[in-house]
Amino acid sequence: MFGYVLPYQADLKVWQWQAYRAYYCGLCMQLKERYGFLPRFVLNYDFVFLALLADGLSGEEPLISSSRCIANPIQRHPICQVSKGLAMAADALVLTAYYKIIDDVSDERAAKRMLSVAAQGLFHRAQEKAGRIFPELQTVLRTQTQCQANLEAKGCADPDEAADPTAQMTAALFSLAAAEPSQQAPLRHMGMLLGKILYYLDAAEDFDSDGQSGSYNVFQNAKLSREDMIAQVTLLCRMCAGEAARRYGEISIESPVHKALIENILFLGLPQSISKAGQKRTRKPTTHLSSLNGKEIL
Amino acid sequence: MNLQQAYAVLGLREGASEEEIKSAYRALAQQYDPEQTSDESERRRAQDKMNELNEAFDMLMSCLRTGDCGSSDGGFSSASEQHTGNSEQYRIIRQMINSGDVDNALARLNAIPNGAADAEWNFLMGSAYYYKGWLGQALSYFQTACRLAPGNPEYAAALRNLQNSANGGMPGNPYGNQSPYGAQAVSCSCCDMCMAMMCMDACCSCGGMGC
Repeated sequence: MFGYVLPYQADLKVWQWQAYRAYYCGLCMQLKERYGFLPRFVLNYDFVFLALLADGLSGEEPLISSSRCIANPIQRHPICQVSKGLAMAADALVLTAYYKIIDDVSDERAAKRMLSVAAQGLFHRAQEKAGRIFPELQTVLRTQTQCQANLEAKGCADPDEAADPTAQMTAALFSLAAAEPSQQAPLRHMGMLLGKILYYLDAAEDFDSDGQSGSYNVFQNAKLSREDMIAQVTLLCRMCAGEAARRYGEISIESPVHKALIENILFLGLPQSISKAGQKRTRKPTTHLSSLNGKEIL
Repeated sequence: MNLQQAYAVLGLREGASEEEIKSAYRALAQQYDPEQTSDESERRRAQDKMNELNEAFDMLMSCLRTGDCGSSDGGFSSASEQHTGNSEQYRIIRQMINSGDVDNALARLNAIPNGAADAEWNFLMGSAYYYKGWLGQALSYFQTACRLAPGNPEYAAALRNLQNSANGGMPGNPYGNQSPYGAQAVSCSCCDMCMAMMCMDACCSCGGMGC
């Protein structure tokens, strides 16, 4: 969906980075096993975080095996075997991706819309299967996608209101990670806040292209200059991150691997994504060694 | 810092009321005012203690606001600062916010004529939005509440809490503020704000204690 919930690689130990990669590959494997070849293209980092959170809370540690995969058929590398968290994340990802495509169909212009319609057809069966596993999630996604479309149609210019449908979706997603009922409330709240961050960062990244194409963008509707938009996005995202961290303090994760990865993502990776608000993520920056100062070249 | 520790820092039993928390904070904040001493190491120790006090106070106020700190008296007591005819309304609305019924609380608040002139109204609007996760709205209502009632420690704590995050602070950050993308301006802005509050309180006692 978005892919802003990333680890801060420079601060991970090698074995932690390998564990993260194994989770990422494990999620990809789950997608293949449960939904076949195609849905693997929607694989994304945000749902690795969700899987880590779910397994961290339930205390399940998946086995890691060394295998080959289609992206890298020559070299063997560590891949997580199935865990409850990975299976849940795969189902949730397929559902979320489907509703994201529906949203795109209403958003985009001709050429891209054709692609989206095609993708919608291909995803239809996969999402039906996932919908049988998580019917409540499916209901939330369906109603909130509609809410989003309504907000866009009325030209909403309030960032809080505009981000609400996404926030409601991620709240429902994160509540799936709970191992005990008492974890539901903090997880929901945390998911809601992280969802807002994803929405704002996505809107910031699309700010220019939406402005040119005339597509809906809440910050364009608020008539902000690019500078003001970045300042506003940074402010909102940091507040959300701070509050999400507060809610994270209410749940406890025993497994040291999961805890290390989750805290790296939440306290380092997320602020890093926020500090890059508005930049295109594909551009590779060049820099001098001395200006690195602990920051990562991606 | 967890809730038990926060209560311990303020020297309170768990489940202490809002008034007890506020008065304990005021007393301790005056005692540890870093400006009272000129000795550098002494001053640093006082500053550390102040930071700890602020964190504890923010945490307790924040959990009273969201209503999930297991306080025995159910969160907020009535709004003591409020002298307008709406205080009974506000009390009910506070309870609604504490119990998580945010949308109804907002509907009631919006139905109060001329509420925007009251600090308490702005604070409750901010609290409801805070609970709902609409932090942009929450921030601006808390700012208005603080402008209308500059000495109120509860409003100040709510605002400081959000401003802390806005400056990049993350509660419970295991990496501290040393991380490359972590807080840079936190210690200065929130303390400045808090110092200003306390100075006002001490000098002219307009901070809700005298009048």
